[in-house]
Amino acid sequence: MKYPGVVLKGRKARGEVLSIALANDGQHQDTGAKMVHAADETTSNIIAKSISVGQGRSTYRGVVHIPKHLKGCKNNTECDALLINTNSRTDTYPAISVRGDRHAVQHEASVSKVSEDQIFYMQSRGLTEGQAMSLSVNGFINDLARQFPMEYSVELKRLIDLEMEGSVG
Amino acid sequence: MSSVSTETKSLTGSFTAEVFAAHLASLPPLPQWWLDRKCAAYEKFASLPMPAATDETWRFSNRSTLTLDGFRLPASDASAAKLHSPIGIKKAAKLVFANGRLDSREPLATELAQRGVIVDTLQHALTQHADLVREHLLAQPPKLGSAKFAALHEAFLIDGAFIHVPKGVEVERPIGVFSYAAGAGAAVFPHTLVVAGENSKVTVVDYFGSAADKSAHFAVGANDLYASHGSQLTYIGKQDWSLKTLSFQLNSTVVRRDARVQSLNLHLGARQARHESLSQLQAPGAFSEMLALTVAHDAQEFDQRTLQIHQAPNTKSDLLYKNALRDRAKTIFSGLIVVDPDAQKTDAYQSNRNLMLSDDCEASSLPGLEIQANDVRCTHGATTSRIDPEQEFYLQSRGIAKDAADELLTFGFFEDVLNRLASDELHAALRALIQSKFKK
Repeated sequence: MKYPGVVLKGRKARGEVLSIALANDGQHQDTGAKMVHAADETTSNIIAKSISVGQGRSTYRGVVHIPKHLKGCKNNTECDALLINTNSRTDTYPAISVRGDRHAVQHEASVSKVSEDQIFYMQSRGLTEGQAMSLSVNGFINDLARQFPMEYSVELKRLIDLEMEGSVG
Repeated sequence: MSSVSTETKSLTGSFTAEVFAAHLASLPPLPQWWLDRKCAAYEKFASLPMPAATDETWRFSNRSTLTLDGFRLPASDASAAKLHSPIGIKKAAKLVFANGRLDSREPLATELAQRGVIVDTLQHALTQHADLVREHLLAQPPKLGSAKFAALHEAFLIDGAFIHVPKGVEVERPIGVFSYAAGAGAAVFPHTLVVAGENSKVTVVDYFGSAADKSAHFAVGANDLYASHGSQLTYIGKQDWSLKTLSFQLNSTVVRRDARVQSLNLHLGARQARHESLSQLQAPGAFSEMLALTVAHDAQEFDQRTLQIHQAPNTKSDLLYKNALRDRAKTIFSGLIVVDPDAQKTDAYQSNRNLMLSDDCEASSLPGLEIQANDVRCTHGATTSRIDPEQEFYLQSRGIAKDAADELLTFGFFEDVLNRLASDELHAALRALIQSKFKK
């Protein structure tokens, strides 16, 4: 469980939470973010990506709160889940409450699996199924990983490769 | 003030055991199994607590204004029904209920009746079509938090509509059911049960309204929709109770193989209205489209809870709930998509759009997903915002006054949902109804 909370207290403050969770067999990753807007024209952004492998279960749980007296606050939330095996599981439980003046809030979530066409294409180019799967999963989180420091994103990629080992078939 | 005494008092409110006994005594002779179920439901109602602050299914709801006190079971009042003529479209048949009792009816054309279509009262159907009623009446569990109110509905249900379309029959014109409440503090429990046979097609329009006195009512309505293999069922519910009414509407939909259900709920009236909608997709090819439009003004509160359960592979659901909020209004949308472990190839969508037209309104969204199969396409989205200033500016630059521009944009916002209706006639009638609320 991990829910970083951001309280946006100053005018035009901006809060951002990027989250990547990988739940392998026997794991339940219950993660998310809280955005509490407490000043005018504050903006927040939550991007949460989760990968469920085997019987792993990943959950996004979030709060976006914009109280009454504020003006012009914005929030954007995106949750993407990737399911690797047929018995993987994912849940999304956001809670959004908006009151008041000229706010704009959007939340979007999608659930998908690794495309069979992509795996087939990579296999036809000589990758093993496991390599293809790792590449696909790394592609799924790539747009987030790019924003991290280089050393960290390299390590993240290696970690995902290790986690994905033996998860196919 | 001890909290214990308020608790025990509020468990049954106006609906005490004596009131229930009087209600049973007032009923005509009915099958014993139904009376047993009513008694069991009353026991359940009396024992269940009122919603608590910690109930996730009541998150964001204003519970302090929920009350069971100050209501009464009205005597039959036939004067109520004369006062309304909500939408002027031609119907295949019509049933009008005033304070829970049949007031008037327009029977089906003999041609349809001969083919086996049934549009009847529940009281009559309980004896005449006992098997169908017993199988489908309130057969699905109340999963969305209002178990207490569902039990209250079952215990005090007097009469309602029973609609059955047999295998292969298509009913072109909509069937209308009208439920009115009249008199101060009147408690009503309207019910509509629709059983669509295999490959049949039917449209049902369910209308809820108050008599002209506009006094406070208490309404706990329910509808059960059952779509057999290959059937097409369209349900339109229009809730237009008086602005002092406390309303609950509990909907349950079961969709079987290759059947298609479209339900559109229009929420206009009531002081506080809770709508729960459960859609169960039980066999491959089932499709459920859930639509809702809410126009909230003054201090109205609309609380909408939905649950889409995909229990079989290759099922599809599509939900679009749009709310327009004015003044100090409040809306809550809480939706959950559940995909069972074997329901591969599910395609589920859930969308909630809130348009805020004032600075004091409040919109809460709880869109949720619980996915246990991997080969699925499930997405949801929730947005809350004002009218786009650029669109407003564009219209103004074309010489349209600001108020008129806002109105146009708001109607455009609703049009998205109304366009999903196959019938142009219904589309026009509903649009007129929404616009009339807007121009009040």
